[in-house]
Amino acid sequence: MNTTNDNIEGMVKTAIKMASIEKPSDNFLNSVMDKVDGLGMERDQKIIVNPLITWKGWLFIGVTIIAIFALLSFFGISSVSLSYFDSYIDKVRSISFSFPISISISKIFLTGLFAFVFFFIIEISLITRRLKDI
Amino acid sequence: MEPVSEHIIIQRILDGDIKAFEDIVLKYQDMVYTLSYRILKNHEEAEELAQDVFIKIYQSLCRFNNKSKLSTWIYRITYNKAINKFKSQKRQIITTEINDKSEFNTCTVADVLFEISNTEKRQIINESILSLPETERIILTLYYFEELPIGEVAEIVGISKQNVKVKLFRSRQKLYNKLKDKIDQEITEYEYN
Repeated sequence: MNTTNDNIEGMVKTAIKMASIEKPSDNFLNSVMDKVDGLGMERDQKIIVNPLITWKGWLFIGVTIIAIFALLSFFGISSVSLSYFDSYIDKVRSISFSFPISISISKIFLTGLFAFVFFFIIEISLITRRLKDI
Repeated sequence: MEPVSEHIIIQRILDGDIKAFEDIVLKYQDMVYTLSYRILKNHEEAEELAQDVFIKIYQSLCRFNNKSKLSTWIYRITYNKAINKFKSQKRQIITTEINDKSEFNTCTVADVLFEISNTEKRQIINESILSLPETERIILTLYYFEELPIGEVAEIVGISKQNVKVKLFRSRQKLYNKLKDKIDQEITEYEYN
């Protein structure tokens, strides 16, 4: 039985080799290349996402922060006052009193909110500029 | 074509060198066309589908990962596209019963194939291959003609290795029976004339 199967396998293999390969028309390559020429490479290529802040940028930020703390401790400054912003923050806080519902907003919350909005605007402008470059 | 050079060609295409794509088309056009034809059984449709396959390959080349062979990826796209087209046409799949003719003298078929002309041989064999179920046609072609290992054949047609082995065994028997029937028919016609 095994010999018969082996014979069949050998014969089928020979037969398929004999059948050979089918060939497309002579114009096949030109037709494909004409169609390909009319196409752009699909735009869903892997988008290489570059970070907004490069490793050099992060290094600079890190070194600056460390330098500031080092200088502050060197000059014996233990606290920093943001009193320059106090007048602006107080103005904003006074607006809250004009709301029908009285809400008290702490200075730290407002400072954080301003910082968030400030950095958010910077980030948006950076992202917009980066998207235009792509 | 070495795998390394194929990798370089792919990179050139991705870098915008459209002409480099010609090398891919030239290398694979015959096999892509053969696989398409063996499923669709129509030259015009097979050619149209083969063109679509190459366009798909060109557009998706950026998604090709070098983990699998380029040939395996191309044949898988061809098989999937062809089988989808075939199914959408809702053609009747003519299944062939496996008649137990294993005891038939295998030398007779081989001898007759040896005696008849090459054109006749090719015609008989092609007709017999085309009468098999479409997946079996592709498995036989990839395994015996392209000599791909079972694992790659399984990857292309999307079934397990074990299933490929079973289908290979069945399709071998079916093809052999088909060939035998055709040859018997040829001999009868020859004797009648």
